[in-house]
Amino acid sequence: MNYALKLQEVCKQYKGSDFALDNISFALPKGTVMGFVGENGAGKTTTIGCILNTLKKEHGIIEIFGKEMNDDDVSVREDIGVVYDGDNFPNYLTAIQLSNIMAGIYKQWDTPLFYEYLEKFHLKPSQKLAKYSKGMTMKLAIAVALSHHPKLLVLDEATSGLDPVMREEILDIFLDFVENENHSILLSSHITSDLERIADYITFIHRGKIILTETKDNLIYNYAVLRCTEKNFSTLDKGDIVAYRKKDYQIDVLVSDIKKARKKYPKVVTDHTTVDEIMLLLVKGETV
Amino acid sequence: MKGLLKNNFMVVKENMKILFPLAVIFGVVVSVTGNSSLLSIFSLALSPILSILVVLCLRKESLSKWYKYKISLPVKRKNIVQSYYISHLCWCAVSIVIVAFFMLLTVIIHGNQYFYYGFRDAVTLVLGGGVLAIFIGAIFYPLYYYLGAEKIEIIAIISLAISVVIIAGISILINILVSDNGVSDTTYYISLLAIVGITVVAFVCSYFLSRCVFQAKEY
Repeated sequence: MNYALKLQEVCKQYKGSDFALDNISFALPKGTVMGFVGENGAGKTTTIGCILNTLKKEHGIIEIFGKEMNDDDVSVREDIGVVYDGDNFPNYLTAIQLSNIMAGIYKQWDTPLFYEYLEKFHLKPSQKLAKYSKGMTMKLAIAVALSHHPKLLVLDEATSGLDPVMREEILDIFLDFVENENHSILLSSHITSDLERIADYITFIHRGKIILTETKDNLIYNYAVLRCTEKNFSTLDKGDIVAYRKKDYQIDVLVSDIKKARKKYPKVVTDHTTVDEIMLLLVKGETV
Repeated sequence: MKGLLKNNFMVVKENMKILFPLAVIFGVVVSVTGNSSLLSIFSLALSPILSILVVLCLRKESLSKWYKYKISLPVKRKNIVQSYYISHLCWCAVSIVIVAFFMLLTVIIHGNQYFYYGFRDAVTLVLGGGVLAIFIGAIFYPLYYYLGAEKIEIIAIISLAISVVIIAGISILINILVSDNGVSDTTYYISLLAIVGITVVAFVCSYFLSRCVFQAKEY
């Protein structure tokens, strides 16, 4: 399989902090979207920083389009579109000026395409970015990320701050983008409904460790939550339990094979689950 | 690189809209009055003021994630550093041109009555401010990369102070080294060249130092 992005045992530690990325490994196949999920401070932005070389990893391998990217690999970065959460661009610029700057940086900068996106996103080209709302700055960042014909989009909370209507439109644009089998997206997000809509793979990170990487379909269709009583729980085969969480009178147990669970534990209520619930169980729950 | 330079120009442009008319008004006043003290102040102060203004504008960049975003663009880190040094030199050149223009105008209107023992000619006056402006950049950028944008104001003040001390120190040293019988033209211009040479070397060394610091920097 060809990968747009591959991380192998990436480690990163901050001086004077307990937090560390601990042997992060995952791979994003070409033509797919990977949702990168985790609670605040889980290590999503640090991982993205290591990928984009804004942070220096201690060890491990990060390959983009099959090649480790260092500072001199300008051509690799020509093919990457980036969106950070918050203000990506200085607010003294207008969108027109930003386009002029980007045209002097990206070889493949497509000014007409950029203006198309501005129109589509209802962004005024001559308005100072200082006057843009948060949603507008995010839309602008997405327009910039797409206007140089990248092959890989790295999006750090790119849909946060957007209203549901605009998020829908942006997600459609991302889906159009990955219709080309050479295009891929790594999308970190708290909004798991977005990931359920567009992601092919979902990777969960918690306290600097990857706790699960799965295809979304597998998570949605095969993973399940058993609603157990204490008595039910004690009868479960430990090998079936991915994670569990005790509530007042119930124990929610995450399992990875719904058919097997329904057959094996017919008396236990077994529900399909959501990415949100899986994240909660993995992050707040316990493992056997 | 072209895009980075454009951005560096944009960041300063707004402030220049204020400084440039003020510089022109001051220049016109100097040319009309022909006052030698005003001419000296104008010539020696404009370039350093502009230089300080240019470096302080970096604060605007730090208000967004642009400093981080730039690293993910298809440019090398050394290009980012280079772009600041080139922009700084360009603005110094602009200020030198403005000073030279109004000085020429003043001399044309009032005649050559300004250059005596201390500042023998227009070149010294024009270069004096320019050298100080370049030195400010040479001290500022490595400190900026090392200490970060949060301390930008104090770094600018320190850069100005250190630059003044260095230039004054070199001048005093040269005065001590040459004879007491007065400075000959040859010694004067050799000294001037030495100061310019030291400034150029300091600026180039500063660039490599900034590159080195920025290369290891994380955002």
